Amino acid sequence: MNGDRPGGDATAALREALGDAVRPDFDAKFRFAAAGGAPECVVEPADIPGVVAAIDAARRAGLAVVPAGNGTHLRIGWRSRAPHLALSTRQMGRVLAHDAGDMTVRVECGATVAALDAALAAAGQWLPLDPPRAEAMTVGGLIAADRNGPLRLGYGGVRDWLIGVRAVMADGAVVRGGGQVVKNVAGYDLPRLFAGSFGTLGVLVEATFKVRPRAAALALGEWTAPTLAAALARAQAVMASDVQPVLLEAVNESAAEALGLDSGASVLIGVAGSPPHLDEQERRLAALSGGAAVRHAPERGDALLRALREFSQPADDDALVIRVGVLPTALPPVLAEIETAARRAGVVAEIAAHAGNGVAWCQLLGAPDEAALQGVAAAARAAALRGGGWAVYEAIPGELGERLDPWGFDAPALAVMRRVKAALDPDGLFSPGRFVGGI
Amino acid sequence: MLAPRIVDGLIELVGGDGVIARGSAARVYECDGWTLERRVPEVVVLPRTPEEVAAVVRLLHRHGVAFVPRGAGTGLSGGCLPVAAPVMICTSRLRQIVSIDLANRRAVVEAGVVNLAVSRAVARHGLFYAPDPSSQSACTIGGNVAENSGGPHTLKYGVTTNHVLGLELVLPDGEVVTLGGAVEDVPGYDLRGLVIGAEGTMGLVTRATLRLTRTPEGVRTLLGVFATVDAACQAVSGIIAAGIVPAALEMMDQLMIAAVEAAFQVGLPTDAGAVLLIELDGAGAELDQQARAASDVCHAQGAREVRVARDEAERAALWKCRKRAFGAVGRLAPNYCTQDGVVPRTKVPDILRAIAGVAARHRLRIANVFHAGDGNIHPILLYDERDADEVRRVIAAGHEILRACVDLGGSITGEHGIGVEKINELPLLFAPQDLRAMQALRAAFDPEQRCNPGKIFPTPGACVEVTRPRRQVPA
Ligand SMILES: Cc1cc2nc3c(=O)[nH]c(=O)nc-3n(C[C@H](O)[C@H](O)[C@H](O)COP(=O)(O)OP(=O)(O)OC[C@H]3O[C@@H](n4cnc5c(N)ncnc54)[C@H](O)[C@@H]3O)c2cc1C
Repeated sequence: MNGDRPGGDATAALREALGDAVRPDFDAKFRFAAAGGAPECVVEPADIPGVVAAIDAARRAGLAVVPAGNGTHLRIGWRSRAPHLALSTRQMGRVLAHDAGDMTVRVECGATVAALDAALAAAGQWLPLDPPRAEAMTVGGLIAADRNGPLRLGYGGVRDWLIGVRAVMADGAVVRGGGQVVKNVAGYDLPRLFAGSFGTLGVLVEATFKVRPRAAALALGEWTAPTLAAALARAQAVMASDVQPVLLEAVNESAAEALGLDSGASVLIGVAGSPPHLDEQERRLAALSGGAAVRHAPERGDALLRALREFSQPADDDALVIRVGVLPTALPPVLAEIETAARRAGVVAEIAAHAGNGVAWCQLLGAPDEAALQGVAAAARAAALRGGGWAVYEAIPGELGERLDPWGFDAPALAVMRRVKAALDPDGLFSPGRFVGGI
Repeated sequence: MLAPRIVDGLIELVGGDGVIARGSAARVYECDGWTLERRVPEVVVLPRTPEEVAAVVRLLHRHGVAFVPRGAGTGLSGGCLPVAAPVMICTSRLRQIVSIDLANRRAVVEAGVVNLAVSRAVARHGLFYAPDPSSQSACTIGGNVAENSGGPHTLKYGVTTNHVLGLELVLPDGEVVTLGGAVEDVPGYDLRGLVIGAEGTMGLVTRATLRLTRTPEGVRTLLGVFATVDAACQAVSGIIAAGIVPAALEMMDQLMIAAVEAAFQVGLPTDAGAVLLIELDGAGAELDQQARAASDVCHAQGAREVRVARDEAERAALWKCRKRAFGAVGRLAPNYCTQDGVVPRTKVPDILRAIAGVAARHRLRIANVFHAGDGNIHPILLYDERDADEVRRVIAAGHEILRACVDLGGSITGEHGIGVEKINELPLLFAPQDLRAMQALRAAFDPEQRCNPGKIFPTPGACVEVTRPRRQVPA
């Protein structure tokens, strides 16, 4: 480490202040590289006072702070504008209070989504969010990166379940928003502000969620289609019918292959509930599709669900992953444009869309060169913007990371977002420059 | 007094019929549903379009004049009381349903559109707008956004913030911004989520993009009659333990039952300790199974009787006791007031015991009707305003009840907001650093405190002294 750089001699000073919570090893620095930018140092405090001390020590060492969980989604966003300390909450992983009768759970933010799920499952309940890498993703990362999965159609996202947060702010204050009860309009809604804030406002240390009785069972049906456009049309037909899907994924042929479907483009329809309910939904789907839609056997359905859940993760180190959002009815033209641009550039585009929500994931793979990949990414963003939506690049390989704006967001509200950031983090301590508009 | 040239400027912007500058016409706007405090605004402005709202706010900003937004004025915490603002901007002429997108289940409406009008406009397409405050035939979407309103069906469907995708907001300096939008997951901070529930302190909402929900295929409504409130609470727990999420779970205690029965003769046993109204919705096979299970749970908890509505008329009859509960209270006492505390659902028996203790200690009668599924209580404190001592005891009792809610891990307001009413109680719930962070956020939107000043946050030295009980309001 170079002593001339700010924070260059940080590790020793931090070790003095924080003891064994400091991880100087190379592995840790690799794991917590934010958009490829390695931290000067990694700290994994064991409790809230430890988080407060780490923030204080970072300030004194002249380092920024990038909050982290297990680092499964740190690739998202710009690199940190300043040398930084990665502050992982993963040593803070207790489920603090789960009262099944209240249908709420309070948890430390370093608990993994899988550990939380296991605790809830013991009482027949769940937090019905199905993000990727649940075994590694922490609750803090789930909230800050606003992750969800295919089930969002039936159950919504983080903002629909989060009712309380505690966070350590830039001045070291431990701030609470929301509460433990499912209905509460006292004070401003800090939980929702933190959802999707990508580590730019503070370090989340505790969260409280509403939870639900676990769905008795989930069944997956499949209705194949000649093209992605046709699959999307079928998805629209399902939405307009009396079928009540909790999941509706339209996939193109390349994505189908990656997911282990041998049928080409398809729409996958998930329903949840008691066995009689599932049977009834199956009958309705059969009537709608003229018998073309089939129900997968449970083991096969579960495997497909898992694959769908993980689809948003980069398929390899060279993948450029784009998350696109438009109105559901705008998906067909926008995704068609992306497919066309990819085909022309000789790039493989695997596309899976949450067809009922208008959110699609595109994996761009096997590009002949960087220019081709950049061209397709630009075309995808242009198509999304023309379609009234947006496109975020959630994984950008290699050197491109320094040239492409991951967020592509530029609206009058950006000025208000900057003021919100400045209000809570006036010195730009947390994840400087990593978020939209360089916030 | 507002300078005449500012009034002239307002008239120029919205027309002579859109400015009420003096006299009895402005009296209508002196309070909302919380009538304890009244203050007639100096000037009421009624813009016709969002663009006019922005122009009005820009004009006021140029002159450094504060304003308060107002919808229908059904708020229950004094949110649109013009405390420190001479001008009131009322959205009652912003009544357009701008667009309905059936395929994507979205509606764009202006802020002054009445809640129920949205569901009416889409009902024939099998859709509805889910948040359903009991005031839904009068209150506006802008007011709902400001208060993050809920309703009896919150348990299953959530509150306003779960159903609003985007907002058009006129900032206190007149700039117009779009927060969120029709498309999901717009990158950046969820400022829409922050503005929802901010009680009109971050700007004036002019348009909202709403999510529409599919009308449930079927509904089952049951009424369980129990010997004690505890048994009814056990039934609530039992239903939830059975993995059922009812659309609504509403409870009344004995004093309330007696009042309803005396007023409307709906056939409730007046010696019952509690009745529990259970509504389930969903699709065919599963719905019947859940209705049977809920009924079984009630019987297992010793229900004397479980009535099941066989048709829409019977369903309406069961709901009638709940909806008319507040109307029946007039029979019990000359005056009453209510509270809006929340406790974790399993603590409902504890808070009811605490309320009974408060009632005994202060020699008061308190009836209970509440959202049992959400733990949102509405204790009704009965009194006679001619009895000064009783009035004092009612005020003390109200405060003690809110404190008990907080002590049980709950909140001081589930749906009515802080407004001016509960400013003094907010610090029961939040520490100084929490309130500092919130006020910093407020300043990010409204650095000069010109939009709805004097609400939510206690200001040092400006403690509101409550000298009369909260007004008689249903909820
Ligand atoms: C009989 C009755 C029953 C009720 N039942 C319920 C219930 O079940 N659930 C529930 O949640 N509430 C209930 N309420 C309370 C009330 O109806 C709600 O708070 C409602 O959302 C207020 O809407 P409004 O249009 O009347 O707003 P107002 O009372 O006019 O205003 C309320 C607040 O919102 C602000 N505001 C209004 N419009 C805007 C805007 N366009 N932009 C920014 N700020 C704005 C005001 O400044 C004020 O602070 C009930 C009230 C009554 C009288």
